[in-house]
Amino acid sequence: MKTLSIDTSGRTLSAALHDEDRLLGEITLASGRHHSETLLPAVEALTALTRVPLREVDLFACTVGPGSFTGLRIGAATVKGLAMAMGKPVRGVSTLAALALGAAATEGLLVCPLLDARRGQVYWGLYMNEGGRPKNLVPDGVSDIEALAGCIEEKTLFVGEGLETYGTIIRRILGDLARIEEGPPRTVRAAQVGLLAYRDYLEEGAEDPLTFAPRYRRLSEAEEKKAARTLTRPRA
Amino acid sequence: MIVLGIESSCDETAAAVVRDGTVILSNVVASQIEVHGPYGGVVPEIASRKHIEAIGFVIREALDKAEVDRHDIEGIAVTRGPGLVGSLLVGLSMAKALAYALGIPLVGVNHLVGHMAAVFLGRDRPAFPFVCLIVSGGHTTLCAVRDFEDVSVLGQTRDDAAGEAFDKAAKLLGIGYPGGIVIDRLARRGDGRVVPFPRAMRQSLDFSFSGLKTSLVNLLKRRACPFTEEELPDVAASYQEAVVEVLVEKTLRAAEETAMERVVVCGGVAANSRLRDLFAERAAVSGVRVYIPPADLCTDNAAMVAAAGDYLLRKGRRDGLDLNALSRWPLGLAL
Repeated sequence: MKTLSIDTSGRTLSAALHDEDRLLGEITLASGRHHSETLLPAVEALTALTRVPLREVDLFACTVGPGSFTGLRIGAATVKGLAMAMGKPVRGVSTLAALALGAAATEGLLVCPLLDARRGQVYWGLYMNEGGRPKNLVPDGVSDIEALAGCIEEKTLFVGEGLETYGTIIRRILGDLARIEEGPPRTVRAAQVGLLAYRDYLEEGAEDPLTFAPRYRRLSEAEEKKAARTLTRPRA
Repeated sequence: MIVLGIESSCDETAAAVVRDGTVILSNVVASQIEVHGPYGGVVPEIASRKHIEAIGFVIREALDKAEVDRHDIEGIAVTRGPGLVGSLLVGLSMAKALAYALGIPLVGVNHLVGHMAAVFLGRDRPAFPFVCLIVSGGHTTLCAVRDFEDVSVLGQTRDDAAGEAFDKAAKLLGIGYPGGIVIDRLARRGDGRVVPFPRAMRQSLDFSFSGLKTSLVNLLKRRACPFTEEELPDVAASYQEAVVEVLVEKTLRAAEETAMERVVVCGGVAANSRLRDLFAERAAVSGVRVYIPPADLCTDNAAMVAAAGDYLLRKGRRDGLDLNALSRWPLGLAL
């Protein structure tokens, strides 16, 4: 069973092909070019280089969030189109779960994947890798960094691009409780997205391409402002 | 050739199947008007979210209604711009994935060229070349169309679009939304000669509608009270007459200046009944043939995109998998 997986949730783009658990190939770009311009050419190159034609793909997968709203929709719309054309199922994967799975040498350790959500907030969740699947302990969500720090009670490994902005602050607030992964912050890789999608598919089945959509974990700014106005409106 | 058209440039998710650029096999439009209503305008992020939720269903319905299998589709046409980039990218990503996976050609279409192509879906089809007036909530543009790949702009609005002028007037008069439709309806009971609204820039082929709106603002200020139920139809009719007269006059002058015998009128405002009547009336006098798409094909839809795409595909145009969306795409700009 072959899985084609993609990630366009952040600045990098990644596409991979798996045969069950085995990675056949992965293309990852950090070129700064627009995902809309590079995604399908990358998929085309990947299928050509691995000599796996699209008709042999049984499952199409992508990250469904959190991440850049537009990037998530480019991924979701593309996977939807591929799956509808080929008559095959889809599977969405949490961006944060894919990041947690990437920190593979951490079996049994708490992992907190972190993405910059702008407006002074971070997307985060808490995971523990067990038997090759990241077990979700605190659901993916969005908050300021202080609220996140308040939830950390034991030694936790922080990973992800959110560290660029928040690494220093986390170390300052949490001290020894925080382990920050060495080196440049880990980005989402389709090698993990495809693996996770395949394992989730075996456990939970597929999703319908027609209803498939990102899970943003945050309202649009207009909806947030409207909700805030409703909440703060004084009573007559 | 059977072409699937996809359109998601603003607040309508649309898909259509069109045969040979002229026969509509299906034309599905999912509107978001109600979602954006409470915000007083289209919210781009909300529009994009609605597009990704709707697009699969809209395409499935378009195929089902056309009674074609996805493997019967021979080409895909998609709106590439101008429009909201986040919204465009949903339709574009979908279109590219379908074209790649089905192994069929893809072509990106300018939304405004799509509006022009709507006329080929009616019973009465013009030959090239023609003068075209594109008139909608976002555009008021006069152009010379030698074919869909050779378009030059003759004139355009320097401020508000005609549809915008209707929306703003309807808001000032407190008669509802969308402005063009309510004013059209109200004006049928009124006399367009009652209020002497100004007609701007009579000498040029460019348009200006902001002065017209200002004169309505001043009129309301001078009265210091709203118009009565009895007065409103006349005010609406007079305002509409000021917009429509300028549109018709300049379009026919453009035809005369370019020595073209055919005129196409398209875009959302082309559904306005007074505009259609006045064009018919004046064209008969000036000897120009006027072609206007059926009213339901004047507003945003994907059949028009498929019609334009059919033409471009037959001329050999192909776009690659690296095709990107364009928020701005002036007519006549070859890419």
